[in-house]
Amino acid sequence: MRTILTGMTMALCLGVAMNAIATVPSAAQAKDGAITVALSGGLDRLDPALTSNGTDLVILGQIYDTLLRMDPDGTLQPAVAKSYEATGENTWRFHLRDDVKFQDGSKLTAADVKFSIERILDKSMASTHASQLSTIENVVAVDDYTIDLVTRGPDPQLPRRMQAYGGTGRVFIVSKNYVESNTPETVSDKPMGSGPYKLDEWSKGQKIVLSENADYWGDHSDVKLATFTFIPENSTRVNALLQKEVDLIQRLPIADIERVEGSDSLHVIWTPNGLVHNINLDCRSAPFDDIEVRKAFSESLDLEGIVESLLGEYGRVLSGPLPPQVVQYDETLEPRKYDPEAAFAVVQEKGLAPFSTNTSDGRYIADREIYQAINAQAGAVGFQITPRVMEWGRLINMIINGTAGPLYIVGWDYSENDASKMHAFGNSSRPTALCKVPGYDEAANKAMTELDDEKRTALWREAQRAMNESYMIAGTWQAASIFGARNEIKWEANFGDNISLSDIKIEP
Amino acid sequence: MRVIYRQLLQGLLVIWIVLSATFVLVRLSGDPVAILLPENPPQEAIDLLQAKLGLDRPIYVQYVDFLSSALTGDMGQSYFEGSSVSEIIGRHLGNTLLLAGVAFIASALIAIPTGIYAAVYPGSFGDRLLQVTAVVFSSIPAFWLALLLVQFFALYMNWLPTYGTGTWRHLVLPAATLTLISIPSLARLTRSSLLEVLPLNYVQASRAKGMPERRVVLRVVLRNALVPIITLLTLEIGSLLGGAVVTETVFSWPGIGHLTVVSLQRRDFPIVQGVVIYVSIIFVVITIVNELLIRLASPRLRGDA
Repeated sequence: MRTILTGMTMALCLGVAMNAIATVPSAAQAKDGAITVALSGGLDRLDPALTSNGTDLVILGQIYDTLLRMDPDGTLQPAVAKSYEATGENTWRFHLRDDVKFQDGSKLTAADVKFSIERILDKSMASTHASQLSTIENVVAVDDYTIDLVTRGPDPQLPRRMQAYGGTGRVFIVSKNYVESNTPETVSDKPMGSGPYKLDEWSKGQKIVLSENADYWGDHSDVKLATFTFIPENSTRVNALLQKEVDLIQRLPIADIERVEGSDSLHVIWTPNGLVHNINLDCRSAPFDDIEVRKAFSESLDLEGIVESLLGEYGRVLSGPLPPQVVQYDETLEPRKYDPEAAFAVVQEKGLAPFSTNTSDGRYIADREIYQAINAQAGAVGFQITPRVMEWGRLINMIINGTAGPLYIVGWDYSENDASKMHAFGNSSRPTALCKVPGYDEAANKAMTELDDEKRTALWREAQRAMNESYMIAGTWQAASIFGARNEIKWEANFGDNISLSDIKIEP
Repeated sequence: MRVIYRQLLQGLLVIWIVLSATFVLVRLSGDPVAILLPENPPQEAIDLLQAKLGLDRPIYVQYVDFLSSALTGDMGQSYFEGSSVSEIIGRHLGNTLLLAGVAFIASALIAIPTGIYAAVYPGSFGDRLLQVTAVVFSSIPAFWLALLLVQFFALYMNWLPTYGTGTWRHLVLPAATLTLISIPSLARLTRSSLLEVLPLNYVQASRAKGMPERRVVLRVVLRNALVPIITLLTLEIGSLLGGAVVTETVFSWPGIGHLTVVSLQRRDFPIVQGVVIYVSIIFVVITIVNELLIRLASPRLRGDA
């Protein structure tokens, strides 16, 4: 017994000693252009065709280039493509820069862009980005620096997929030669692109280190070296910032904002999030198959009050389904009314049966608290709701199978700043659709293939009004992406939870 | 020796039952396809991904396929990470063993002597102090204790890092958390099982004979208490692995507890199944070692081995 214990003790001491000798993660220091960033989730794989995990996309966006970039107001700007135009109803033509090099020194040409897109569309890859690019019929490399995307029908949304933000449907440009001459594991574990930063080291589960790509074709930023660590636990992430172990954190919880603001050396950076939260009502079955009941439910909610008390300045109630940063946003939509008396009268008259609903816990900012407040207010006018809280994995499965109940809260990501994302839940042929909204399908289906911007905007505005008039969505609100940072870090967040190292200034 | 075979067979049976239960339970509330895809997937994308992950096959086919691969040591690929389950678990297991190992030794070194003292001198001031602190520390949630330690030793005193791995300093707070939450039960159990096995009059008789106190405790008490203490330490390993889940989460310590939570949330079946296999094997081995140690410690049981 004693020998076993002694042996174990020695082995452990050895392990600890080995660990002590191993590389110590450098303490955070926003100087010499080295910064440490704590992300709120871990990395899965860094193959741009195979992942749409948010934290993976943050890292991929530093290593890889895209054809286009986006301004905060949603305007598309040149990147690897210096210009683009529609050369026909079904063709988008991109003209590439001729001075872009991959980090291994090889030139980026149209062949690489063609390869990157076809790799996503390859069915055997089962890429999560494929469905958003499904209109592409053919990719033609006209010459080394010209590429045509030929679509099955007009697709005005396609150029938006060529910039980095918006979740699924991104096209990051990989090197054809590198992917073909390496194993899939290498492509994923040692990503090699043409972006402003290159991979130095990735210790899985612990950290990933990126350094500046000296040969980058674009502007150079103050950040020369960035270490990303992964801290899913909110309070731990905030503590690491307060302790100066990291310089910048993603997803600062609202409850901790005061602690960060109370520190002399830290500040809060925030931007409205691309994520819009809807209270979706299922109009295929009772009780919400009746528009009057849907309207009554919507009018029973003082959403302004709920969002104000739970999110304060970091949230806002929206009049329609879309956030203001969407290009086709209709600012003339009437805000939803709060009229509990009218709602009470309707509920009394209809004599509704009790029903139960489900919500996720922790998927969205304050989702559970908002849901509880909604239940209380709907209950006050006579809706008899049995609430159930569950984890997101279970709820999203129920949503996709159509068994999530009469209402649920879900977030839609409008980071692309385009109304077409609304079609994800409005389009009555999707598994997640809740019903046929009168007038919506016609307008939206036309808008999906309308290349004229003005007409397209008019159609999407029509679709927004149809959506509002149907009361399929009882209420909408938008939260904020909040970051905590050291004072030396000067950065304006514009794209939700995304972090672009290139935009960060360091001022000691 | 026959006993060992019996234990091994029992162990295999346990592993198979636990594994089958896990296999069914994790699949009850849906699959990872909904989580991998955007919130609005077209049916075609769902079907394609399910086929790629092999989730479109009937569940019994998946089960047989999984069992036969597991028997050859192949636990498959993670649905999310592009690596094999063995590689991912291997990456995390060492961290958990380090954390749990340090906590195991530290809590045993503190709790067992304390428990012995309290049992030999029941009702003394030390005994009562142990009772009180045990109640306090066993009722503090591990999560909160971890945050308190961080608040004081990291944020206030600036002595230790708040999260992560890499140096011995990173190990201190998570190991301390795990140690503190496992000491009370271990000390109290040591005390109560000692009181059961200790023929008190025998101890008193030895004392009355004028045997020095040290020899009384070492010779008389410990010899009688060895068997229950070995069993307690075995149980302790189980509670440490359980406690590691919370502790690892709070400190972003990349161990299997943390891995299991994340994998369960996103329905990464192969990882969850892999963790269950590893942990069950660890337990079967520990049980057998426990059995052997007890036989070594207790000559009366050797005869029927």
